[in-house]
Amino acid sequence: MPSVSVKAKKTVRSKRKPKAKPMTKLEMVQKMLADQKFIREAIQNGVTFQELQDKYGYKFATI
Amino acid sequence: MVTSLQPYKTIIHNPFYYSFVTTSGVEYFCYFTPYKEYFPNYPTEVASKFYAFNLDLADKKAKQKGVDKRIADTVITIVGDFLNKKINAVVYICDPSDGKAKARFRKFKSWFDYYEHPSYQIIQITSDFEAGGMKLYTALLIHRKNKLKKELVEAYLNLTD
Repeated sequence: MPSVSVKAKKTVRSKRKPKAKPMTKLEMVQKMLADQKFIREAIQNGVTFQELQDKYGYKFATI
Repeated sequence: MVTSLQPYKTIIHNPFYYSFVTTSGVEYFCYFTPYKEYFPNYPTEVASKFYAFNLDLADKKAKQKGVDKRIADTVITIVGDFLNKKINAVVYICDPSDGKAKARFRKFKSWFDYYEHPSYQIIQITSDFEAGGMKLYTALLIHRKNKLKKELVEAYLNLTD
Protein backbone atom coordinates (compact mmCIF):
# COMPACT_ATOMS: atom_id res chain seq x y z
CA MET A 1 0.00 0.00 0.00
CA PRO A 2 1.47 3.31 -0.96
CA SER A 3 2.21 5.46 1.97
CA VAL A 4 0.30 8.61 2.10
CA SER A 5 1.80 11.46 3.89
CA VAL A 6 -0.64 13.78 5.37
CA LYS A 7 0.58 17.14 6.30
CA ALA A 8 -0.44 17.92 9.81
CA LYS A 9 -2.40 21.05 9.96
CA LYS A 10 -0.78 23.69 11.96
CA THR A 11 -2.95 24.37 14.93
CA VAL A 12 -0.91 27.14 16.39
CA ARG A 13 -0.26 30.17 14.33
CA SER A 14 3.26 31.44 14.38
CA LYS A 15 3.40 34.57 16.40
CA ARG A 16 4.21 37.64 14.49
CA LYS A 17 6.13 40.34 16.14
CA PRO A 18 4.01 43.44 16.39
CA LYS A 19 5.34 46.15 14.16
CA ALA A 20 7.27 48.69 16.16
CA LYS A 21 5.42 51.96 16.38
CA PRO A 22 7.38 54.70 14.68
CA MET A 23 8.98 57.02 17.19
CA THR A 24 7.82 60.59 17.43
CA LYS A 25 10.43 63.24 16.95
CA LEU A 26 10.51 63.92 20.66
CA GLU A 27 10.98 60.23 21.49
CA MET A 28 13.72 60.05 18.89
CA VAL A 29 15.57 63.02 20.33
CA GLN A 30 15.19 61.74 23.87
CA LYS A 31 16.59 58.35 22.84
CA MET A 32 19.50 59.90 20.94
CA LEU A 33 20.47 62.02 23.92
CA ALA A 34 19.89 59.28 26.48
CA ASP A 35 22.07 56.84 24.52
CA GLN A 36 24.77 59.47 24.11
CA LYS A 37 24.73 60.17 27.85
CA PHE A 38 24.66 56.50 28.83
CA ILE A 39 27.66 55.64 26.66
CA ARG A 40 29.61 58.69 27.86
CA GLU A 41 29.01 57.93 31.54
CA ALA A 42 29.67 54.23 31.10
CA ILE A 43 33.05 54.90 29.50
CA GLN A 44 33.92 57.42 32.17
CA ASN A 45 33.07 54.78 34.75
CA GLY A 46 35.36 52.21 33.21
CA VAL A 47 32.91 50.19 31.11
CA THR A 48 34.61 49.01 27.92
CA PHE A 49 33.26 49.45 24.41
CA GLN A 50 33.16 45.68 24.10
CA GLU A 51 30.93 45.48 27.18
CA LEU A 52 28.71 48.24 25.87
CA GLN A 53 28.24 46.20 22.75
CA ASP A 54 27.87 42.74 24.30
CA LYS A 55 25.96 43.59 27.46
CA TYR A 56 23.96 46.62 26.48
CA GLY A 57 23.49 46.08 22.76
CA TYR A 58 25.08 49.31 21.60
CA LYS A 59 26.70 49.28 18.21
CA PHE A 60 29.72 51.18 17.03
CA ALA A 61 31.11 51.82 13.60
CA THR A 62 34.10 49.71 12.76
CA ILE A 63 37.05 52.01 12.25
CA MET B 1 48.40 68.37 -0.35
CA VAL B 2 50.03 70.63 2.19
CA THR B 3 48.03 70.99 5.34
CA SER B 4 48.50 73.09 8.40
CA LEU B 5 46.75 70.60 10.62
CA GLN B 6 48.64 69.46 13.67
CA PRO B 7 46.53 66.65 15.04
CA TYR B 8 47.45 64.84 18.22
CA LYS B 9 48.63 61.31 17.86
CA THR B 10 45.52 59.18 17.96
CA ILE B 11 45.37 55.63 19.15
CA ILE B 12 42.94 53.46 17.27
CA HIS B 13 41.39 50.93 19.61
CA ASN B 14 40.21 48.51 17.00
CA PRO B 15 37.54 48.20 16.01
CA PHE B 16 35.54 50.76 17.94
CA TYR B 17 37.14 54.00 19.02
CA TYR B 18 39.98 56.49 18.93
CA SER B 19 41.63 58.19 21.82
CA PHE B 20 44.10 61.01 22.12
CA VAL B 21 45.74 62.97 24.91
CA THR B 22 46.29 66.73 24.75
CA THR B 23 49.46 68.47 25.88
CA SER B 24 47.66 69.44 29.07
CA GLY B 25 47.04 65.76 29.78
CA VAL B 26 43.35 65.61 28.99
CA GLU B 27 42.25 62.40 27.33
CA TYR B 28 39.42 62.23 24.79
CA PHE B 29 37.49 59.38 23.22
CA CYS B 30 35.96 59.56 19.75
CA TYR B 31 33.59 57.04 18.25
CA PHE B 32 30.78 56.68 15.77
CA THR B 33 27.42 55.07 16.53
CA PRO B 34 24.97 53.95 13.82
CA TYR B 35 21.87 56.10 13.41
CA LYS B 36 19.99 53.78 11.10
CA GLU B 37 17.07 53.44 13.51
CA TYR B 38 16.25 57.13 13.21
CA PHE B 39 15.60 56.84 9.49
CA PRO B 40 12.91 54.12 9.37
CA ASN B 41 11.22 55.62 6.33
CA TYR B 42 14.29 55.31 4.17
CA PRO B 43 15.73 52.30 2.37
CA THR B 44 18.51 50.50 4.22
CA GLU B 45 21.06 51.65 1.69
CA VAL B 46 20.40 55.23 2.83
CA ALA B 47 19.55 54.74 6.52
CA SER B 48 22.55 52.53 7.20
CA LYS B 49 24.96 55.24 6.07
CA PHE B 50 24.18 57.57 8.97
CA TYR B 51 26.47 57.65 11.98
CA ALA B 52 26.62 59.93 14.98
CA PHE B 53 29.99 61.31 15.96
CA ASN B 54 30.79 61.50 19.66
CA LEU B 55 33.64 63.23 21.40
CA ASP B 56 33.87 62.63 25.13
CA LEU B 57 36.29 63.28 27.93
CA ALA B 58 37.72 60.09 29.36
CA ASP B 59 37.51 61.62 32.82
CA LYS B 60 34.42 63.71 33.48
CA LYS B 61 36.28 65.81 36.03
CA ALA B 62 39.04 66.76 33.60
CA LYS B 63 38.89 70.24 32.17
CA GLN B 64 40.53 71.58 29.06
CA LYS B 65 41.99 74.95 29.91
CA GLY B 66 42.09 77.58 27.20
CA VAL B 67 41.79 77.04 23.47
CA ASP B 68 43.68 74.13 22.03
CA LYS B 69 43.53 74.25 18.24
CA ARG B 70 45.05 70.80 18.00
CA ILE B 71 41.86 69.24 19.39
CA ALA B 72 40.01 70.65 16.39
CA ASP B 73 42.75 69.40 14.07
CA THR B 74 42.49 65.94 15.58
CA VAL B 75 38.71 65.77 15.30
CA ILE B 76 38.79 67.07 11.72
CA THR B 77 41.31 64.40 10.83
CA ILE B 78 39.30 61.60 12.45
CA VAL B 79 35.97 62.63 10.94
CA GLY B 80 37.64 63.42 7.62
CA ASP B 81 39.16 59.93 7.45
CA PHE B 82 35.78 58.40 8.25
CA LEU B 83 34.08 60.36 5.48
CA ASN B 84 36.83 60.06 2.92
CA LYS B 85 35.57 56.60 2.03
CA LYS B 86 32.68 58.54 0.44
CA ILE B 87 30.12 56.11 1.83
CA ASN B 88 28.91 57.36 5.17
CA ALA B 89 27.47 60.57 6.56
CA VAL B 90 28.05 61.89 10.06
CA VAL B 91 25.47 63.57 12.25
CA TYR B 92 26.57 65.62 15.21
CA ILE B 93 24.11 66.51 17.96
CA CYS B 94 25.11 68.79 20.79
CA ASP B 95 24.05 67.62 24.20
CA PRO B 96 21.82 70.36 25.66
CA SER B 97 21.75 68.96 29.20
CA ASP B 98 24.35 71.37 30.61
CA GLY B 99 23.06 74.48 28.83
CA LYS B 100 26.24 74.76 26.76
CA ALA B 101 24.91 73.20 23.56
CA LYS B 102 24.95 76.42 21.55
CA ALA B 103 28.54 77.26 22.45
CA ARG B 104 29.62 73.68 21.82
CA PHE B 105 27.86 73.71 18.48
CA ARG B 106 29.43 76.99 17.42
CA LYS B 107 32.85 75.58 18.18
CA PHE B 108 32.25 72.32 16.33
CA LYS B 109 30.82 74.16 13.34
CA SER B 110 33.81 76.48 13.17
CA TRP B 111 36.16 73.49 13.04
CA PHE B 112 34.61 72.41 9.77
CA ASP B 113 34.51 75.91 8.37
CA TYR B 114 38.21 75.72 7.69
CA TYR B 115 39.24 75.79 4.11
CA GLU B 116 42.89 74.94 4.05
CA HIS B 117 42.81 71.31 5.07
CA PRO B 118 41.58 67.99 3.66
CA SER B 119 38.07 68.54 4.95
CA TYR B 120 37.43 71.07 2.19
CA GLN B 121 35.95 68.01 0.54
CA ILE B 122 33.45 67.78 3.35
CA ILE B 123 30.12 69.55 3.15
CA GLN B 124 28.61 70.73 6.38
CA ILE B 125 24.90 71.36 6.73
CA THR B 126 23.55 72.66 9.99
CA SER B 127 20.07 72.59 11.36
CA ASP B 128 18.56 73.38 14.70
CA PHE B 129 15.11 72.45 15.84
CA GLU B 130 12.95 72.26 18.91
CA ALA B 131 11.61 69.12 20.50
CA GLY B 132 9.91 68.92 23.86
CA GLY B 133 10.96 72.44 24.77
CA MET B 134 14.61 71.68 24.00
CA LYS B 135 16.55 73.47 21.33
CA LEU B 136 18.80 71.05 19.52
CA TYR B 137 21.80 72.01 17.46
CA THR B 138 22.81 69.50 14.84
CA ALA B 139 25.09 69.23 11.85
CA LEU B 140 25.48 66.83 8.97
CA LEU B 141 28.89 66.17 7.50
CA ILE B 142 29.23 64.40 4.21
CA HIS B 143 31.85 64.01 1.51
CA ARG B 144 31.22 66.04 -1.63
CA LYS B 145 31.68 62.95 -3.75
CA ASN B 146 29.42 60.66 -1.75
CA LYS B 147 27.19 58.97 -4.32
CA LEU B 148 24.16 59.14 -2.05
CA LYS B 149 24.75 62.79 -1.15
CA LYS B 150 21.34 63.97 -2.35
CA GLU B 151 19.42 61.23 -0.57
CA LEU B 152 21.42 61.57 2.65
CA VAL B 153 21.02 65.34 2.79
CA GLU B 154 17.30 65.05 2.13
CA ALA B 155 16.86 62.41 4.87
CA TYR B 156 18.79 64.53 7.35
CA LEU B 157 16.77 67.64 6.56
CA ASN B 158 13.54 65.69 6.98
CA LEU B 159 14.74 64.41 10.34
CA THR B 160 15.54 67.87 11.59
CA ASP B 161 12.62 69.64 9.89
